[in-house]
Amino acid sequence: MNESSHLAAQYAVGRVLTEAETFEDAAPRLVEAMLEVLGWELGNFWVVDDASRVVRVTATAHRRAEELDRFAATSRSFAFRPGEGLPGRVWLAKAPAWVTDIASDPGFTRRAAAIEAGLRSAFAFPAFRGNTVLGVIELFSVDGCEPDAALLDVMTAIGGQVGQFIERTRATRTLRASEARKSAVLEAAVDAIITMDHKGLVLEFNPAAEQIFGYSRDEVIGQEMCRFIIPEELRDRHREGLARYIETGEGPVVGRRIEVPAQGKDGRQFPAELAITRVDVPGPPIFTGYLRDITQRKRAEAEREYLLALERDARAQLEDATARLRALQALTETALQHTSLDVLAQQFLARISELLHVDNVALFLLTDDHKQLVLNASLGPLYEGQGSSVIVPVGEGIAGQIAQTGSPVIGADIVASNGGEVTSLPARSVVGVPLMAQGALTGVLQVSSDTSRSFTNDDVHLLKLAADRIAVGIERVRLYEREHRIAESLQRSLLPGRLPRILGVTVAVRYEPGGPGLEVGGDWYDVLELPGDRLAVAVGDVVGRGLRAAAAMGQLRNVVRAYAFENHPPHKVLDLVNRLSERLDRADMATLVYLVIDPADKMMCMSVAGHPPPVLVTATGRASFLEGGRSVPLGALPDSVYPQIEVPVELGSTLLLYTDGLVERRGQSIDEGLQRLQKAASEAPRDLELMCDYIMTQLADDESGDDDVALIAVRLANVAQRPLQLRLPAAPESIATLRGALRRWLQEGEVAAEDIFDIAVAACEASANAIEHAYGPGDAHFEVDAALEQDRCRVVVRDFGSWRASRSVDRGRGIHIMRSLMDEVDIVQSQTGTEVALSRRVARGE
Amino acid sequence: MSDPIGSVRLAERGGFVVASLTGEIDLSNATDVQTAIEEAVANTHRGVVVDLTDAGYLDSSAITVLFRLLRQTRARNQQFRVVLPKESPLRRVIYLTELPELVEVYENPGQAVKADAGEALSP
Repeated sequence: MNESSHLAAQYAVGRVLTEAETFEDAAPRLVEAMLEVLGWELGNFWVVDDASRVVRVTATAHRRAEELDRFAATSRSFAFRPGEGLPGRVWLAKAPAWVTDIASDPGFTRRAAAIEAGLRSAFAFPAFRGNTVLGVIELFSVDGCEPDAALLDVMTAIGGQVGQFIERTRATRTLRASEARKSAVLEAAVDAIITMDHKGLVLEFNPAAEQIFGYSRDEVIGQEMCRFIIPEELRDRHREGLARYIETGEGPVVGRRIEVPAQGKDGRQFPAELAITRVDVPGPPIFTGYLRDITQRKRAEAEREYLLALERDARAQLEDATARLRALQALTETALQHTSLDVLAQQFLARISELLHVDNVALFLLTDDHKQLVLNASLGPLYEGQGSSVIVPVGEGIAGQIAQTGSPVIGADIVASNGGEVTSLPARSVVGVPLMAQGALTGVLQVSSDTSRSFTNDDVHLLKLAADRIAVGIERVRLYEREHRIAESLQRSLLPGRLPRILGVTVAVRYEPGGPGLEVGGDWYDVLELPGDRLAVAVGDVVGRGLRAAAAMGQLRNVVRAYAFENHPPHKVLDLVNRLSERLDRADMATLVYLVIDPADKMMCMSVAGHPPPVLVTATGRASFLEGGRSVPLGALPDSVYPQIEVPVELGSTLLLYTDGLVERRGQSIDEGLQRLQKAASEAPRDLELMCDYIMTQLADDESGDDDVALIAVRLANVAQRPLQLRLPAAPESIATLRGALRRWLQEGEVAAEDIFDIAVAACEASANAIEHAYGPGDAHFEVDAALEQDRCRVVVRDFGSWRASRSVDRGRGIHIMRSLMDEVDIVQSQTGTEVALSRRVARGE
Repeated sequence: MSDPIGSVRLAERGGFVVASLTGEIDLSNATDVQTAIEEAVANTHRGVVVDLTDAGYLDSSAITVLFRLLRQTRARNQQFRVVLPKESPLRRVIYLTELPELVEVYENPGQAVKADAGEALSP
């Protein structure tokens, strides 16, 4: 090799590289060129496959010969990794390599094939770009060749050139590939893809664009785009926008998806969706627009909107109906909850007022004789404050008409019969419906409005539905109230009507049935007169509620009575009752207090079966519980032993018996109730009836709940009352004092009220006389002595002055009064003074 | 369905069925409580302990249940005991029925199941 060869080689390579357009084109020609210049036989152009990190033969050139063919084929079958084979070595080393004698190079992978092909030596050099080997060119000679430093240099230079070329063609290939891909996309796209340059001229116009707009590609290429696809009125704007964008780099359209009107060749305008992107290329930008005909979509949207609107309307209607239905349902709930007709009615009316947006709602109920409608409840100004005084005869006015015909009425003009007067109450608009329960008309529901409001059939319908519900509710409440009244009277009938009276014992009773529940309770009390002027008092409580408990209570009461009348002592009565219960197989337990009072002995004998303890209130008002004589409830055990206690009772003391309803509250321990009872009993007024009232108000408040409350007060009264002795100043004020003292004393003596009144008046008249007499020294006082016998009261009024003949007519009248009121009036005058003795029969122990 | 106002919890301890009543036992649930306890007691049990520690309210129906259980356990020769702490609000109610005259009343279940018959540990 000489220098001219080197130059020739370089020149040849240069030519090839310049002329060739593609790598595929250049590669074999390169090899050929080098073989020619060097006079060698075969060359392989190996290229690095970056992905798999191997070199492969991409082109071969050789002198025509079969064995060379074979060697070429062999080479092509190899893919060398870095460091493998000659090409791999060169690739790895990034430097040329020379194999002088293939035959003696054991490392030469294709040695056998090379020998067979007659190839003696090989030379390979890298095609590189920068520091990267892109390929390896391998040349073979049949002659043995020595390494040539000069050739190596040349080849290195060539290697650089070739590397550059490879890179350039690779870029081109990538570009071509993407171009090809893009073409494919463009061809296949459904959307119109239009490319224009910065002047607005069409660069590309894909088939879809042709189809959508109706122009052929040739028609528009190089033309101003907006002339073809943009409606005329918008073209200028487009041009301005483009110009501005080019200038400022900003615009509202690029990079966004927008809806625009587009126009096709046939002039038809249609809605289109457009997305414009900017493509950066060397020089001014170009723009690609992706455009879609959205006519169909818009139509579909419009349809959907329409359907949605329809659906919304329908839903609104449904919601409205649902709301009304719910309001109706609420009426039913009200009916179920309330047990009082008044409250029920008011709730109903309020709801109807809301439901129908009316000012006045009125509920009329038919009287039992079916001749009149009476206003039961109303809401609104029309009937305000009139209540049940509003009566409408059947057949008159709106309501009466409805009651007569049984049909709803819409109208104006209401006729109300008000205590016989017929007045016309005008209202702007009225509608009423009948209230039906079980096929019968029970009333009328009427609504009216002061403002002119026309009621529609819908309103009538709604009102009817409401009326149905109310009617049911009302019937239920009425039925309930009726039953409750029956239950109550039943319960009361089981209680003693008239209390027996025996002298020396006063009895007061209070009974409050339990809550509005239908169920009767098992509480009862009994007061019995026993032979020997004794009184038996029983208070009991059968466990449970309802008819069963009431029946058990009734039976128990009779059993107690039966044994009581046999005169058994309390413990025996309980024992007998208990045994009988066992024999009768009564499953119910009952508590019981049974006591017998003997006013003559002033003794009380008592046995208590599981019942709260009676209270003893002394004459001075000290209250305590009687804890003795206690045992388990009746019916608890068959062999119970019932003790009894005997308690002395002083005159004027009171025994209180009661049911647990008086002292029991949920959430409180019974201790609290018992304490309250004790306190109330000690604070209560003396008078027996007042005492009972006081205790009831203190204990049986609204929180009693469902339990019955019974309170029995038994007082051992003074048969023989201690005489009253008074010494009072002879002054007018003393008359009032006397009156009070006398009254109290007589009350304590259990004297009847009328007697007390009369006696007090008479005594006061006598006293007035006494006061009048006294105006001398020693006359400063007068005396009153009163005594009470079994059935007679005597009062003596004594003064120490001198009697004067009647100074006035009044005094004469006074004596007349005395004589009228008292059975006997004796006036005795003496030196020392005057004595007036009054006497009268009295009734006691009421 | 609203929460139950009262309930019974059953357990076995020391050969006894311990029935712990909680909440309010009245007409509405007394029978259920009784049935629950009855069903839990076998002839092999030493007896029944009714624990009223957590019971807040007992009405006459509930008292009836106690007496019924007393009868039944007696008939089977079993023990019947009641647990009623000193500070229980039910104390008065229970004593008014005179039940403590017939059954032993204890302060807690532990004492109740351990005590031999005849030993009352709470007055």
